[in-house]
Amino acid sequence: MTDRSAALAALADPMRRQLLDLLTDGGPQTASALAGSFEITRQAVSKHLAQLEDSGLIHRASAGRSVLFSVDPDALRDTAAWLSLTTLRWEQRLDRLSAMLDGSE
Amino acid sequence: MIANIVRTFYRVAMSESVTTERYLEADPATVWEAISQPERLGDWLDAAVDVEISEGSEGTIVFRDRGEPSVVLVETVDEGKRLVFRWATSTEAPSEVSIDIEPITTGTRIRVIERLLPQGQVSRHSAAACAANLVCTA
Repeated sequence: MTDRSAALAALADPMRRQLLDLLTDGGPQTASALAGSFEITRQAVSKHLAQLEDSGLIHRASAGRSVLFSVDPDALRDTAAWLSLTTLRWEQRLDRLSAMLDGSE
Repeated sequence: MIANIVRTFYRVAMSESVTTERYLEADPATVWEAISQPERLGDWLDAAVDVEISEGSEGTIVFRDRGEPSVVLVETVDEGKRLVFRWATSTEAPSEVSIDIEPITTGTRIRVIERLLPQGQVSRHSAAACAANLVCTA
């Protein structure tokens, strides 16, 4: 299971969100290809990729001599599902509180 | 489609939490009663609440739409203003909920923020809270 908290923390950084965008739009890519889109060093890109990988949001797979990174849609859905379910639950609870207090006056 | 999920996700993920707010017509004292009395809290959470609302107390909340009890640990009680607790079940990740109320001219504003907790945070703990991954280290 994805650690949702780690996934959210990984997404707090704009560079990592941009990397995730590139992987989402462009499909599986190598670290070098991704680094080409940034001003920062290849090493810094690798570090961000490692953090995204630790959070479960992306995976790496070997393809011949190169390593390809790709987005894990299940991990994103899992975290997005928590956020929307939690929002929905509190909306319903506060609706009930609101109705309860209106009824008592 | 995945791109849409990703973008929806970013919007919410920026704050690393979920915030819900309501403007209530009741005065803050009335709203606080509905938060701090377990039975009344249970009425609007739609759950059986078995925890004393005082700092450091521990108990359970059983939601009517889910069979499994949530282990609850009350962290902060600022009388009439703020309640913070942590909760988790054996299958759902631990999170922290803070409920703040504030007087406004037409009544009371209530704001609920729920955020996911990093795993294994240190604090006071019991076996139950530890088992629910709320407050102990490995």
